[in-house]
Amino acid sequence: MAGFKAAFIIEAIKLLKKKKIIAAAILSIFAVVIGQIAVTAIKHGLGLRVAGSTEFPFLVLSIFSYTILPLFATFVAIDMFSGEFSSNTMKITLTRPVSRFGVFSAKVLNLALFICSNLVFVMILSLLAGFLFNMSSVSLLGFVRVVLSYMATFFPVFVFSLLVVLLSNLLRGGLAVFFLAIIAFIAFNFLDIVFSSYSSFFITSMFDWYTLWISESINVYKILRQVLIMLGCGIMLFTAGYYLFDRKDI
Amino acid sequence: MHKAIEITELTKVYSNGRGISNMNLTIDQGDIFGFLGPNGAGKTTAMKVMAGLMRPDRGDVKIFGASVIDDYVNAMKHVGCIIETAESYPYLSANENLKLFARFYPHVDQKRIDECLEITGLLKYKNEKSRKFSLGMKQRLGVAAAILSKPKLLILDEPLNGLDVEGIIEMRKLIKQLVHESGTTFFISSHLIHDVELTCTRIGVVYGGQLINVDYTHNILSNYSSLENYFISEVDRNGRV
Repeated sequence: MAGFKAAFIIEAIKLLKKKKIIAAAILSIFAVVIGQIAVTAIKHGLGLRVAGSTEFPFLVLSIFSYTILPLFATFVAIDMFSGEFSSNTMKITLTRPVSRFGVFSAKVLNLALFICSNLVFVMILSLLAGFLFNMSSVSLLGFVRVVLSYMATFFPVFVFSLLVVLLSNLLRGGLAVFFLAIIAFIAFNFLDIVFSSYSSFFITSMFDWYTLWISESINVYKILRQVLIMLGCGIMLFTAGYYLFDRKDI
Repeated sequence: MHKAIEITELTKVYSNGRGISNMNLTIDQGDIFGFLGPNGAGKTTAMKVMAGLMRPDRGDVKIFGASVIDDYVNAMKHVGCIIETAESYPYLSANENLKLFARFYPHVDQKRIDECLEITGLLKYKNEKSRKFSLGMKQRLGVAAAILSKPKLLILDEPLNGLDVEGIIEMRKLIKQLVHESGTTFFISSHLIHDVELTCTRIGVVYGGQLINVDYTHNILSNYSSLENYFISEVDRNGRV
């Protein structure tokens, strides 16, 4: 346990020291600012109301969850595994008194924290932007729905990043993992359209499952089914990723 | 005498047929063991298995009684190592790198970090990012990281790589000092045979993935004029032209 704690802190410090986290933050700010400018321009130019104060974060989330968030989660996952394997820095941690399971879990937990903090950051930004530009439509229920939808978005993105972790332990090059992750992302979205009845099995189709949580009538069974599918996929991907990581010769 | 390392029937063969097979070796506490062999003989493979970076096909390595396969955390508790190359995080300074490594050892504080930087001659560069370091400086940082926790066993694969003459002499001194003051055990592989002769108390020669001979340095030197002659004769005897 002591080894895990040390590995977890080390991974967190490494993540904070890298430029990717700054790039993710800057791009997130850009996304929110550009979104708000577009909404305001349409409102004043064409007279159309696109989004109110608590609706704006949903608009941001619908774009953010399919672009910047999975992209940077992929970058971070590749960096944590493929990047460290190719730069030979993986052995720094692996030759310390900590089990491989401890190192793997510490990395995955940090990946989860990255996704979580990125979502929280964008949520706060979009809420602030929404409140500033559309003060009139503020409501507590709206705020709760925003928090709930951002929280819900974490799970599918995290499961997708576990797929990237698996690929990072399967393939040698980071670039190959990146392209394969992109192909998987596109393929899942395509398959989601073609085989819509099986869409729950294509994890990217669940990036917008937050809509289930905030709809007028909540479909508990559908939510439960999605949760179980995500949980199953998550456990399988984590286990497969760890199996490869544990067997890897450095 | 307590055993620091016990290697039993260690086998690891790569798809190209190289590797190590049926290696048996025991290192006593306080030994400075020199691991010699030509390129591709299996030195690094053996060291990687010892450090847990590779899984053997067969056999086991016990460090202070704990198996690196079944009880890795306890086996590595008192081990410091440099395997193949001394690595550090390039985007961190020397001090930050050591601070990160120190998180695995609760007893290591800033004073000890400064001490290690001082020993390896890096104290004045402690706030410089390691990406700006020369090969020798990176090697020194690797040595600082290896000795940081005051380990009872140091596994060093080519520790003199990239070091200048001054660095080599300091390294030699450091090894002897650690053995003398703390009874540290060393397992060293090096191509610099003269330095091995001057530093190591016991020598093992590995060739074609097999440990072909193990003897004490003073025994070797009583029969051969130098370690180099012994090494050449051992390798020739085992079929190398």
